[in-house]
Amino acid sequence: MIITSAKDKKNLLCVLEGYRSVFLVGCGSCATACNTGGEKEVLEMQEFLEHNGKSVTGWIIPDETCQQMLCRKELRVNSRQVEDAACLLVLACGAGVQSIGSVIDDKPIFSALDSLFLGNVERIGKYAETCSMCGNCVLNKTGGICPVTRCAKGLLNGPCGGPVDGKCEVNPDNDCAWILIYKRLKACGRLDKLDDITLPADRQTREKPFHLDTKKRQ
Amino acid sequence: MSNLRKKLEARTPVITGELTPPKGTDTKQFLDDAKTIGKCVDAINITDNPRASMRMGSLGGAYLLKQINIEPIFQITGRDRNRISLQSDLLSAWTMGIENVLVTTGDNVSAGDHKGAKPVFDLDSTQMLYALHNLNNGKDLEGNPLCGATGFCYGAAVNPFLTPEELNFIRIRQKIQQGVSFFQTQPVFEIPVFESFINAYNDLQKTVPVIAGILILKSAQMARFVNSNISGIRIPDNIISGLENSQNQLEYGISLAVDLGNSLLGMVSGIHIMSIGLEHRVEGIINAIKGRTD
Repeated sequence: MIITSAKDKKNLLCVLEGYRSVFLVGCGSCATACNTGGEKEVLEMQEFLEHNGKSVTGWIIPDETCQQMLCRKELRVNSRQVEDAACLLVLACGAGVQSIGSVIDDKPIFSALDSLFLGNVERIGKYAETCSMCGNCVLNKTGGICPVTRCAKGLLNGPCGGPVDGKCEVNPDNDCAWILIYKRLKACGRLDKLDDITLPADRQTREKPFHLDTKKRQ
Repeated sequence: MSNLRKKLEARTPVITGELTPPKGTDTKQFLDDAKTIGKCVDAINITDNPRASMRMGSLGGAYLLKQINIEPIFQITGRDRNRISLQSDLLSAWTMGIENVLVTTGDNVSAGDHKGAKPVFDLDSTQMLYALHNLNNGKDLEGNPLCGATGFCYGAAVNPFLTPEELNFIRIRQKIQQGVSFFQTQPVFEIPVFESFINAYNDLQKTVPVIAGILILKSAQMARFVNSNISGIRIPDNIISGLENSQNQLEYGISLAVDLGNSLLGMVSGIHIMSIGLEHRVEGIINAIKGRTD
């Protein structure tokens, strides 16, 4: 899921300066699971804004705020409250913010969260980035452990010279991804996969922005 | 052909030094230091923004050495350059008369003085060596023909103390496959551990000359700093306490460098002296190292 964190609320007040009324949008999916954009956080934001002299005209929490059609529908249902607001504040990932922006084009849309990464949930509140969605997956060669993401330097042919006791030189809290890969491949009898070098990645797969139309693809 | 390549091919012991270009445009000290060590080493490595701290570039530094007839080893990392820039700088280097290159991964930007910079790492060190192999064969990384090939003598870094050893040797074999002419190592302080590494290395089907690193320690404080801040280097406690308990820490460090040099020259093809501000002592150290042959 997309891991998000709340922006500093004082800075948020600076962003909202000059706007007296706000309509809030949360997200029923990732941001709810992250405790950054669910009902509790939306209501806390309402209280905070009202305490600081703003009026909150209403709020919605679409099941998935990145779904543009869903957002369009929910905003239409709440059109009067949206109309009364001078701006919208979205407690969702960047895709959610822009999903709202694709529906509302005559009011400022602000983001209350920072989008951090695509993360695995180790437990509630503890997330780990394991995939960068690079479009060039090397997991079949690397024992299912992604060096693009889990090696601080994204190295494709083994570790740099820096790991100490299996830990990354950049952040010793992290395991060296390449030592994990080595151990996994060795345990599976697949260490020979590292004999041939991996050639430079095709970064064209990172040319932004991406679009995928599965109908066109077929 | 570079002096370094000639010596490596003749399997004559090689001695290299190391200098870091200035933080700024005043190159006087850099060139004075180059002249000081240039007369007693075969080539001088010019580091590439070491520890990710922004300085004058290694290409410019290497070129300045060429201008005063001192042979440079142009160090290049993938941290700050994508594949276009890497190959472009290598072509520039060759046309400037720079014939030796050392490829390293590069410290992460978080170690340096521009921590918010975007790390590039478009190519890892093995892929940079692959690019060098192509350039020497008259084509770029994509296989497009060059009008004029390079003829670099290029090498790679190796950390003899990296574990698991089996993984370290996978990396070493990969680099040898890419046509490296030499390896330069991290500073060595533990001779028995290094000896065990070099014995395993010598058992490989194909090897290339190894130039072992020697870092001159000025004080126990410096040794502790290195242990805490420079990845891939470990100075054992007995050396730190030896420095601490000596009456003159600098002379203890110099004497240690000489002892390490003596031990290492018997095991490998050369030594690489990292003097960091003690360039005026390098000649004395080299002269004191037994077994020096030209």
